[in-house]
Amino acid sequence: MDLRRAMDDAADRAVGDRPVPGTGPLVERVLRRRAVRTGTTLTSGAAATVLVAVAAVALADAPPGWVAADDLGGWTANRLEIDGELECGVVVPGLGDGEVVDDDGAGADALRLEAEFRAVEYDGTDLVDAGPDLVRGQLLALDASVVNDTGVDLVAADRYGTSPTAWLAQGGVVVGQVEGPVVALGGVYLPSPGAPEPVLALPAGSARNLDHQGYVADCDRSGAPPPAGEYELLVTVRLEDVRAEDSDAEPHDLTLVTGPFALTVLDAPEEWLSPYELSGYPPGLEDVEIAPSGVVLHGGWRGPRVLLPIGHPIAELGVPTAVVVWDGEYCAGTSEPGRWVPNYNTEVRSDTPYLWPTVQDGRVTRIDGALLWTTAPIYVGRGQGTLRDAQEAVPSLALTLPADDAGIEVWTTYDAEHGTTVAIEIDTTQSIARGGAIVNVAVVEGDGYDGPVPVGPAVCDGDGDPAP
Amino acid sequence: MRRRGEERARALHAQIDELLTLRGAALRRYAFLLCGDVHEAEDLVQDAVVRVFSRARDGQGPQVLEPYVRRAIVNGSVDRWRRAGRWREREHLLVAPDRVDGPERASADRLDVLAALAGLPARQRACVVLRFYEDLTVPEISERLGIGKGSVKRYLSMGVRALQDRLGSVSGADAHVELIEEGAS
Repeated sequence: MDLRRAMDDAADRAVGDRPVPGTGPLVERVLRRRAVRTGTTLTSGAAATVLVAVAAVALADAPPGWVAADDLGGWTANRLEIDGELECGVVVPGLGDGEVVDDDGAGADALRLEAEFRAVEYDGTDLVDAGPDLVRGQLLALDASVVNDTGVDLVAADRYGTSPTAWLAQGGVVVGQVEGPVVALGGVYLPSPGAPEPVLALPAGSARNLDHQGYVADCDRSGAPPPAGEYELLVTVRLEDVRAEDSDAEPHDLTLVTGPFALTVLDAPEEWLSPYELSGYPPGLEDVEIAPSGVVLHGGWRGPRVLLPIGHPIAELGVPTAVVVWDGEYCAGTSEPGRWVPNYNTEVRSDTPYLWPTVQDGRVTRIDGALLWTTAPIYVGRGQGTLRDAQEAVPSLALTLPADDAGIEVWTTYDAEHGTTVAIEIDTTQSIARGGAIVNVAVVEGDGYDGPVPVGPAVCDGDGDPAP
Repeated sequence: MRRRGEERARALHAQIDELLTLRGAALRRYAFLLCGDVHEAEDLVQDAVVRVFSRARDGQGPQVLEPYVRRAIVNGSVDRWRRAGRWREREHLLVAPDRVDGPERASADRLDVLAALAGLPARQRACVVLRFYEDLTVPEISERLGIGKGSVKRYLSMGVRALQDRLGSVSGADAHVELIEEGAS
């Protein structure tokens, strides 16, 4: 047999003249994806170009004095000098009192961070420059460089990729943070056997450019931007295991810092649309999560929004950006055609996220979903992770249905605030060491859980949703 | 701002349309050999297009974009294979996906090679398809899959052996196995 010819023939016969799917839905998906709320590494060419073009006019003065230019064994670094990590609530010395600890120029020949920033916004397809002031809901784009003027060739570990972040402070206290880049696998570095560890090379005289864009979130953990007002902005980058390239000296973990810059946060105009409203489509499934209140869109655009509330009259959701819509043709040919279906691809597959509503008496009474993830580490409600992850996040989870013949068991917890039960279906045959893998998450109206329900095309064989 | 967004959306539509019109069938054939199912192949192509165009690709034509899409397809096929295991227990609640096999009988070779490919793990399958269908070299496969050349040789060797166990001698593959074994020694 001629392997190439047999494969060619097999592919030709299988694909044949099948019609090419429409481009429109693909464009929709691309636009949704471009509207993702976290700026992990949004290296939009347009945005990057804008940043370079306007950088010179964006900056406040950047007195370096309140950072320490420590001698680290033949070289120095402008690093943040506080006890512990920079985080919400930390008091940063030298901030808030309008004074500079030391502005004699120390650190000019150190390993240091230089940074510029701009507000950028999503215009429906791309990120565009929006000026030096940050309107609530815009992204903050950081253009930072690690500059090595020590005269020593340095290297740092680069296990997760190195990215700058920024902090907002008022009165010397950190009150907000630019959402950080997502670290894959929950921050667990898995080296490949025999492969060299990733290294960030910082040769003497070099300036290593690092970009990051993200929403600014208030430290109240609501996910909303900080209130309008005047803030001081610090830009930092965390470097691990920094050492001279050709030495056996002890490596250092450093937080390089620059700033403070003056940043004005403004309220968003009432008429502003969210990114997905602007695009005319519902948000991508990768950006929503199932929460006790229903389907929630988290993120910086005015904070979290419940897009599909449990118990809500569903007929009021009939707008183009709703996450579920009425499809009169769904289940056509059955005794009860028409269903409320996701405003996404309704084909439920094993390897793509899905979201499926159950509607009774014109109200959403249950939402099932799986694999709603990618924008956050393992998190209960996103249908990803293991039983142990779920228990750590929600200690009140209790075993409600023991494993059935297929090895599926169900853990639930009642959320009194919203009057809903969150049910997590666990496949006990997977991820056994961690108690089984989450395969479905459901939020159900009331206190109780009856069991799995049909989703996708299978609803046509089950009890039909009532017509609107 | 909205008008500019609409113009960009139209340009994006035209760009994707051109790519799929000119290269869509080839991309689906490629994806089909990697996954063995036409519906899944279409999904793989669409997912790859979405992934590639999630970054601005202004002005880039099909010739530039196709390699990116192919790379995304092969990565997507390996990822799907990896994730498929977690799904099986929920399938009883769903409608089984329909398959393509039509009433007409295809050639024995075609069915055999599909069955043999289906028996290979994802990475082996990807290496075999890239080598014998795409005519890529070992370094090119290594680059596209993001794995070492030694791993590519090992996967190819194992994949070809598995194919030959099912299909008997396949022309073209014997020489490659010998070449791989020489290179590995």
